[in-house]
Amino acid sequence: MATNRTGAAQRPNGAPQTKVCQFKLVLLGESAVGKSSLVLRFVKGQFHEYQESTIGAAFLTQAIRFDDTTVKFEIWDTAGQERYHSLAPMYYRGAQSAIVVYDITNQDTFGRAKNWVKELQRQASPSIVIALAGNKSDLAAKRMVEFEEAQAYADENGLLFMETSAKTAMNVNDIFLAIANKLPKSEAGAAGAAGGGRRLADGEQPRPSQCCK
Amino acid sequence: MMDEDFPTDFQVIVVGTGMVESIVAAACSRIGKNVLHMDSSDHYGGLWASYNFEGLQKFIKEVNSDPDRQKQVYNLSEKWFIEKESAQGETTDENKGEPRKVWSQADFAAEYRKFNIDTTPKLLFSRGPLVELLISSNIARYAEFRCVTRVLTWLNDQLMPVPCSRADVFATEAVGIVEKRMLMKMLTSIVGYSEEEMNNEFKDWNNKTLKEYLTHKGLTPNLIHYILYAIAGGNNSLPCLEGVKECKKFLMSLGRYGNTPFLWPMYGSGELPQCFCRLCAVFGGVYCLNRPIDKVETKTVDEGKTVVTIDSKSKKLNCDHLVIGVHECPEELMSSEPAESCDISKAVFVTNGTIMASEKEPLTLLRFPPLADDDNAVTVLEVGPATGSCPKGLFVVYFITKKTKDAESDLKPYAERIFDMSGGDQTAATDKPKCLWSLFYNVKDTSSPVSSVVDNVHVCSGPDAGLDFDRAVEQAEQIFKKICPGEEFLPRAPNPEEIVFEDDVTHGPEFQREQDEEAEPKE
Repeated sequence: MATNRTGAAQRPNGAPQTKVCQFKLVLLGESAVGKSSLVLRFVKGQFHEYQESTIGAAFLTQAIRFDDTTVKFEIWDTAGQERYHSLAPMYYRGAQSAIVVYDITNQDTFGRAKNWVKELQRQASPSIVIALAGNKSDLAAKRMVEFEEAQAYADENGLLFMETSAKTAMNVNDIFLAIANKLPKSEAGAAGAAGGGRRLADGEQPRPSQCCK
Repeated sequence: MMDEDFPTDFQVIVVGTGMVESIVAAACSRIGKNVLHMDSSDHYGGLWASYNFEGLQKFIKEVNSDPDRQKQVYNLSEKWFIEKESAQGETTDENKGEPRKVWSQADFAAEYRKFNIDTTPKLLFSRGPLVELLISSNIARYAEFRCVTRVLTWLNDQLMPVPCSRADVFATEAVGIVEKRMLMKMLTSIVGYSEEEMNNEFKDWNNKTLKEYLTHKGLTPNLIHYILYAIAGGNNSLPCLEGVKECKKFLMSLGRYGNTPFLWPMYGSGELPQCFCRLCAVFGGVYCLNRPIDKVETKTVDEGKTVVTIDSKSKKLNCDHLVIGVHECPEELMSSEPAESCDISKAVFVTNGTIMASEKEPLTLLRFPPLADDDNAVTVLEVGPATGSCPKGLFVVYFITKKTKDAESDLKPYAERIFDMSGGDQTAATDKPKCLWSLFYNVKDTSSPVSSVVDNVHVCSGPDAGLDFDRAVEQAEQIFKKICPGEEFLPRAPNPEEIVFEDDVTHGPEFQREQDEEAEPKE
């Protein structure tokens, strides 16, 4: 299981135990390929066969701990805005990573995934780390997208690639780990908000990762 | 293909994705209304949108070729001050060592995505209604901001920093020690007035101006300039009480986030409507761009209830309430044309440096007093690469004023004070930044409220010439309260950590062992 979500960011003695790098990760892919299920599996370790779009939950955080670094993902779900091709540009702003999801039992969703990759290359930051996830690998009997085909496409476009199953948890943590591994864990990454600006909060104080003078 | 499964019945349909429309959509969706939010164009924001450089070129072309759009936006005048292609990328000034890029039009085209140019650039007061709303609704987590680092004014034919905080007043070298005390006293007293005290103190100043009041108080011309033009953002005719309230608003927002009272949204003001749209979507709102409406009909069904039907792409969409942007609203639905008001003159410039050198990248609000007697005050915002507005090495500068003649005549004299608009060698040492590209245009002021002939059709105003979003927030709340009387306006959305999923519920210890076994899940 992934590490405690908030514990790692605490600084009980004023000095951080580990370096905390926060990254914005956006999910893309056709409706019903399992975007939310992947995140729920990763963040909560859960799977619901008949997952409805989770009202009010399209924004989750999860941390992965390496030796000296905690990578905190701020995960953005599309909130259904992709359904009628109406995803807002703000969705991509400052995203350092993306998972483009398709359903291995549905060739159309793979075609659409390629379009999402193009869209990311057009809209998002040039340095974005993109992973392609062929989800529903537990349904291999009904497979319509060959592993090799997707792997070849991913290689051509410099994408990370894994087949995943939110249902069995196969490769779910792994794909997030692979992304975390590839992200530059520099000071810039540790600077808090994704675009380098500031977030507004209840308190007048900046967030802990920014308050060191 | 997309239309087969398109739902047709909603409680609320919102047409247009401007600021007011988007806030209303979010507020309705947040309390559980079933919302459809659509826009006839392919992007969010309407007249509140921001564009990358390519999108802006498309916007200019569209307006120039569509007489209907020229009713809203007119007098467009775009000008390049640089070559189409550059012979060489960079030249190095050997004395300074810093290479200064020579920009060409081709460079702008190549880096078009790094531009985010606003059609309605606005700031947020750190303690103003929009910041409070973003925080209280938890929509703030969708956006990032930068603090405005300085407020400047034009005084004695040069740019001058305006001391706004206590520390600034003491640090400034622009005014003497006696003036400092005078300024501190005035600012302290303004900030200290309660509403009642304020009305009381200024009851004899009803028909007088702020300038008259400040003069009466014995302030020097410099101090009057700072307070009247830079802090209150006014002109010579600004009524006294109104001006004092503006000053108080400015002063109250100091000390929350930065050295000035203002925040600027990363990637531009056009991000903010999108943040509200996202909240609407997160709570189940359906989003559909590229969906023009053809017709709006109202029909009374049983119990005197009125249903609004919209024809869109040969589909009939029904709703209990229609919220519609003034530019999308059919004329026969509006009970009156928006009140005639002064239109807005705007300009955008891209320059190769800041208007006033600074240690770190500055983010500047410059308030120009009127340069001629019948001019209006001019608001200038200069934003740099750190705000996501333009590529490194450039600045985007916005000019806004009330229209007197046309945008170019109204604003060019001001621009010439702070930019070198002669074109020519970009590497030449000048005391003013070079203007590389400019756009002037006028916008019809559609910010005054318009009522509709039907109770359940709500018309949203367009952008106003003001510095902040406060009027949009206020109007959105009023519309929401009409649609959902008694409901809370944008209550706090839960943090992800607080959302309880079904399986998260931890049950208390069972009382009887036997029942425990019965409750064992079947594997």
